[in-house]
Amino acid sequence: MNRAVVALLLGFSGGVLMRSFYDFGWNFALLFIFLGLILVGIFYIFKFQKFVFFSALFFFAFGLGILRYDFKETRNAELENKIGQKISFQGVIIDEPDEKENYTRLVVEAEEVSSQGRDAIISERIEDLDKSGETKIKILVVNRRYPIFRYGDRVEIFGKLGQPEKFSDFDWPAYLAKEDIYFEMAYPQIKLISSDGGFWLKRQLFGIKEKFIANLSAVIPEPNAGYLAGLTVGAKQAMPKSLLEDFRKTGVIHIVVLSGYNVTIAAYAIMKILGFLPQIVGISLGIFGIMLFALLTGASATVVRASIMASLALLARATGRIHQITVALLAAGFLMILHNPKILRFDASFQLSFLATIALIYISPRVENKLSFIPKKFNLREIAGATLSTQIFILPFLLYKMGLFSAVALAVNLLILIFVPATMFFGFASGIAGFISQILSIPLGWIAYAFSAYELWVVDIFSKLPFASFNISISFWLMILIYAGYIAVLYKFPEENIY
Amino acid sequence: MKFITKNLKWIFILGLSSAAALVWYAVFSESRSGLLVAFLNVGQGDAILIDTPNDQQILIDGGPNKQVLAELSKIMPFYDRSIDVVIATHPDQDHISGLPEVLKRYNVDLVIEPGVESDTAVFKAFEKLIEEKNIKKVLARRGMKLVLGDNAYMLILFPVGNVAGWDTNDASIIAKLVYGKTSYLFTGDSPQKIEKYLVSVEKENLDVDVLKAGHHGSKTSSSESFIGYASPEYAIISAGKNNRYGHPRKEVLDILGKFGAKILRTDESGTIKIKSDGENIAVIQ
Repeated sequence: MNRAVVALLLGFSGGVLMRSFYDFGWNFALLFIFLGLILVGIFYIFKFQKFVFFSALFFFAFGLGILRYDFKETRNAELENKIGQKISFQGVIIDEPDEKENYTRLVVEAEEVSSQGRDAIISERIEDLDKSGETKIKILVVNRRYPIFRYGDRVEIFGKLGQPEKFSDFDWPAYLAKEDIYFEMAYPQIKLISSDGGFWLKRQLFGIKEKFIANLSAVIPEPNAGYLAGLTVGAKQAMPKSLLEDFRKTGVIHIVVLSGYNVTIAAYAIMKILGFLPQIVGISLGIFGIMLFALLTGASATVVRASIMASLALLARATGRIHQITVALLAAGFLMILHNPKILRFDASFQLSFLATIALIYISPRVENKLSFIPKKFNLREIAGATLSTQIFILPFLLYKMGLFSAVALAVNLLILIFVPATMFFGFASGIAGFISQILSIPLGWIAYAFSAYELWVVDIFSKLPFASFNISISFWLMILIYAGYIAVLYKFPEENIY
Repeated sequence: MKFITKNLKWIFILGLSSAAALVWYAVFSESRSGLLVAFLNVGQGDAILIDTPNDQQILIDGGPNKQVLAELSKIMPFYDRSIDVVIATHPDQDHISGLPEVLKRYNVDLVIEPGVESDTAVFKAFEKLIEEKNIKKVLARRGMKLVLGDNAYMLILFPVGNVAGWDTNDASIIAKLVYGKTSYLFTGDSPQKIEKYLVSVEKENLDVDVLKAGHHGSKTSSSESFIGYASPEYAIISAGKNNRYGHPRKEVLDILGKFGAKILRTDESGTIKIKSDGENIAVIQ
């Protein structure tokens, strides 16, 4: 691996990360770039050690990282002045509505805004919208469960403009800022104008997804149907809050939120089952499965990122070309950060899928070698290895981010993940059969129900244990230190021929 | 593929044993006897499932959200996708918000409503689904009787006439369920003035074993005279944990206690199930 590239990537990510914590103005970035250039000069003139050259690259990229982040941070000053006032605007719902227990969140992209009130003629166009054509103003609208709105609906909204605020322990504004959302509106009046906004293909896909979920819930009772919908098409709605809390406590929340991890497992299972075919067919079908999943979930940026990571992990495991895959993984990570620098710090899904992918590629094979006492049947050993390695690897991050240590995570993951591919398969089959006839989807649905009942039962039993989870929180720097330790161990004990 | 051919024998046995398990599960869950009334744990709201001796199912209200679906599955067998009657006592959010999802997922034969309108979006969604799915709708009126087999029936005590334009709580359906010698009274969110009216015209019908206290234990309901005539053995309060209305109110708990009712609360015990064999009632854990 070319060290110069590593220095550049690390520098760039470091710059982005630092800028996400502190803002010293863009002069600060220029200072780093300047420092980098000077060091390069010194290196060439005085023939210093290579170390100087790498640090020069690092500083140079560090400065660029800060600049990239600065460039991303754009707000609309004009609308910011209207916070606390009643405004009315027209816009399009540009994301799948996020259904919570008692309310629904809609991301609305404003097209025209007026502060005169509801009945005034919509007059004022937002300045920035005209000038750059790129700055889109997004407003997070909290609405009751009914009426139901969908992706692509064009709506007229009247309500009080607000700003996202921090919860007790969660930086909600930063979380929204990564998607460029700086405004909120709670329970405004909403009027549907038409349903033809957004991207037509996405509208179709969400329509299919909605029907798919309806098919599942027509033959399977809740909360199992909601769980299966989350597992198969990453449905955001439908699972009760208390159940999600249990998933979190037992450390298996990743299989229902889009970490891409469940996709990797399922794709890997597809490959294994098709092991009698040439390898290239298996890999292709595995990746095809991942793409299908990404499409069905509406191909949001989060899902696309997770799917790319999942495909890379799959390729690494199948081909064993660890160096090429490493380059690909770092390049993918770099491009994703370049595209949206905020994900590096604020997108838990990106962070988790990146870490899980590293674990699957580097650690899992080593761990598997140590698990020779577990039979290979039903891929038991591989699943155990994958679970163990990802759990160990993401643990410091989880402690930093959520401050929750699940003592039963390992056991619950092992008990559940073995059955996840089969559960996904029958869930998928049942939902798709439902497009043809309900009679057809019933028996498949019942099998999926049996699997899901077992999995929810495991979660239920373990979440009730008194020692299921503890609150342990570690600081950012301690987390970095632990990861440095991990890397040192991996570097110190290279394992040859692990595939 | 190789795996399947190699283990065909075992897969076959597994398939047969699951089929057998399914049959026995069905036999077991269909041989329920007696009458079950379950006050579902749906938070701040009402949802009550009645399973009659003849295996009909009646759902009174649907709670404030989708939670009712998960609670229904805990009681009904997983393959049962039908509910015979849905009663929407009145169109307030905490009573009907879960019902559109119920209509979407279960085959419902009959919806009973008081006939009072509401301009909330959820009520419109509910009405639209009733129309789309061609479900028969009946407006509840005093004296109507829903016959549920030989020994069981449900009697409507309120509303008396047209309640269009009324306050929604005032219009709440009040229904009495009778099985053999045991009886239950469901009151929706009826306020004291309606209770007073019932005391004056339905005295002989008010004495019951189980009373769902009106309006989640708010002091606008459960007047002394009404509770006195009802003199329930059990009073059920369907309210959410730490709800912002302070339900149930201490005054109401005191009145219920005064007349010797044992108080059961969904915010404390979760779903409350009461079984009747026609002679006695028993709370089951």
